[in-house]
Amino acid sequence: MRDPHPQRQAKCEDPKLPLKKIMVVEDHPDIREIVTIALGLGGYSVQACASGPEALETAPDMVPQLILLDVRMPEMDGLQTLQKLRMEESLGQVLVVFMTAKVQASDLDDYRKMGAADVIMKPFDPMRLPVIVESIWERHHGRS
Amino acid sequence: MDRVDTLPRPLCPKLDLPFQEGRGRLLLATAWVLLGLFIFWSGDIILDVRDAGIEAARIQEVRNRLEVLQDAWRDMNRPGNDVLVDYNHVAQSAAHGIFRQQYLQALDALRSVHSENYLELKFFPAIEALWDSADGLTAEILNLAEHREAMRLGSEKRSEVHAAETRAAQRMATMDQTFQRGMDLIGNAIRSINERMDGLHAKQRNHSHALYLLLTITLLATASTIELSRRLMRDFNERWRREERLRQAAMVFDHTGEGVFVTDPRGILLSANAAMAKMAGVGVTLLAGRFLNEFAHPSAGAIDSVWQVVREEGTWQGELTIHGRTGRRTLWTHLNAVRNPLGEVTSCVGVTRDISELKSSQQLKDAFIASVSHELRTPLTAMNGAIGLVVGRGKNFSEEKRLDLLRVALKNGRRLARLIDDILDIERMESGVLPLNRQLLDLSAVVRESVLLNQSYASEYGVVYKVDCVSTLVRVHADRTRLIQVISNLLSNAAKFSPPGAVVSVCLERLQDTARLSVTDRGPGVDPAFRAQIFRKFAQSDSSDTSRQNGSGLGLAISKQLIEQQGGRIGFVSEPHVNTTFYIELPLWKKS
Repeated sequence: MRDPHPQRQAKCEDPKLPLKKIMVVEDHPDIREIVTIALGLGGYSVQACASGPEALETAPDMVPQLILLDVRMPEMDGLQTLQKLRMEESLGQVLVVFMTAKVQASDLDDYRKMGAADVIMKPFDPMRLPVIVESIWERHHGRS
Repeated sequence: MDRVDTLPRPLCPKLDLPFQEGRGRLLLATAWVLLGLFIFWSGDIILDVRDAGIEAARIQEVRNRLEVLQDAWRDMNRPGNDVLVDYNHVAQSAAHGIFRQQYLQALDALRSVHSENYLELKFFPAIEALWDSADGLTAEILNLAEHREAMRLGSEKRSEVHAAETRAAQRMATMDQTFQRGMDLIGNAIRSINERMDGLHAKQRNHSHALYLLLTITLLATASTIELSRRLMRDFNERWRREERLRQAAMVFDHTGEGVFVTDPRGILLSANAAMAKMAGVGVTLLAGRFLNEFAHPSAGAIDSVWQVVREEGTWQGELTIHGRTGRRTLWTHLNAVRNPLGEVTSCVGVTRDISELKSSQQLKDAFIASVSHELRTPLTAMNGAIGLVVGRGKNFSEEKRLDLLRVALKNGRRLARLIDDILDIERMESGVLPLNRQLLDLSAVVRESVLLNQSYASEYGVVYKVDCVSTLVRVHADRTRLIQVISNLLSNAAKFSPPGAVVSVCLERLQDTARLSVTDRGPGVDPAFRAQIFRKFAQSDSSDTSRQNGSGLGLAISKQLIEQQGGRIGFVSEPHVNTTFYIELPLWKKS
């Protein structure tokens, strides 16, 4: 899926803007599809990627406002992907939310240290996903 | 067993005896010898006193007899003198008779006293002489009496009588002299006997005093000797008990499975047992004098804080990691400070147990649970998500889309069920409670059945199974259901990894004494980096991305366990993108 609003790219770094563009990085095709549909139903424009490298390739063009990132992925796991994403100048401040089934206490610590905005635990309720994502966005870029 | 001792062994203090063992024994022996001498000496003195008593009694008897004799003598002498006056020969004769009687009695008494010292009896000849004189005198008196009688009758002359009187008087005078001498002799004898008896009495008295003294000393010596023996025995028992305790302590030290060591307050090892040395992976002697810090981690700073705790609180327990020759060992260690009476820490006793295996098995278990949790959550997420979307926003979707989502849910539900089955299988196998129903089977029939069962699955991937070679009647002793499970796993893996339209060949051969079933595909093969762990739980090659979703990551682990439990083995030969063969080998059934 391609971003249908390329003209908004320039403005999306403004944190005051409402959340519109979300990238999903998930290697499991079924989950990827479900997340895409669920967020689409919430009115977001969603870019789905099947792997870390794909996300790294797509993100600089899209400049998403928030990235939902799976942790256990082949080739490059979520943590490595996040590290590489942070190296991209345009993506330095983007909110990254891990979306994973790997949620032991030590893992959660790692995620926070890596600078993740939040962690969504699998399994999640797809109907609540837009609300969760919105609340994370509000918390970090809330209009105060 | 050797032990490290760089200082005097702290477990063996010097014995606190009142005297050293050798000296104690010497003292005790001397005491017993003296006691023996005292008793011997006392016995000697007792015998002496008794002998003196007996001798005194005899001498007393002699003296009594002699006194009687003296009296008899005097009695006889008196009539003798009278005779010279009135010529009473009858009285003389009677006195002579009495004397004679007394004399014989005294003689008997003297003879009955067997003391030669007194029986040399210097007075004896005198008594003999007296006897002779008395006889002579009596004869003279009788003679005189006859003469006097004759003269009275007138038949004799006065002159003849006078001559007889003169002879009698002379004899009388001689008799007096003899009497005087005999009396002196007897008196001397009695005196000497009295002296002798006084001596004997004195000896008896002195000896009695000595005896009392000796008896007192002997009693005291006996009491002290007994007390000495008692103390020596008590000390010996005490020492034996202490040594026994030490022996037991040493035994515990040497043979316990726990590592035991003693360090000084700085952590320098003074002594360590064999178990400790084994944990450290070095010889016992190599441990001595080294800092525990050299082996034990965490870092030097952390171990310093451990010593701090030991010094301040007296005890510390926790994990120490030792990098010994046998690699990294995790030791659960108790350290206890040993203090002197001033409260200073003088040394530190450590007891330690190697928990490496426990820890690694705990870590394996944790990893397994983490994997299981992750593996279960993934299909659950997809299933829940798909159903959630249909239920929540179903009306937003087309019929086709709804069906798609439900298929996704079903697929993931099935995967979840398979995962749960596999996890249960693995768990049961690892706990050793998976029952195997082994029976005599024809492996070729089992293979054919498995191929049939997997045909439809293979066709999903556009793959065909081709049974190349099947020996008939390959008999094995195995669990049929579990065998089908293993073969199906190999067949489905082969199908999954084959490019569409490919052929998977199945071959069953009879080797020397094993049956070998091979399944060969023409897929990408096994990544060399992945080969070592392909049979491990939840091991899935990351490069096999597209097919990863369909496996639990447990199939090969389960297959390996099942085959090995039935005495066979499983393996593979892979040449990437040419062909990959997974095979199982089972022992052929033998009649015996």
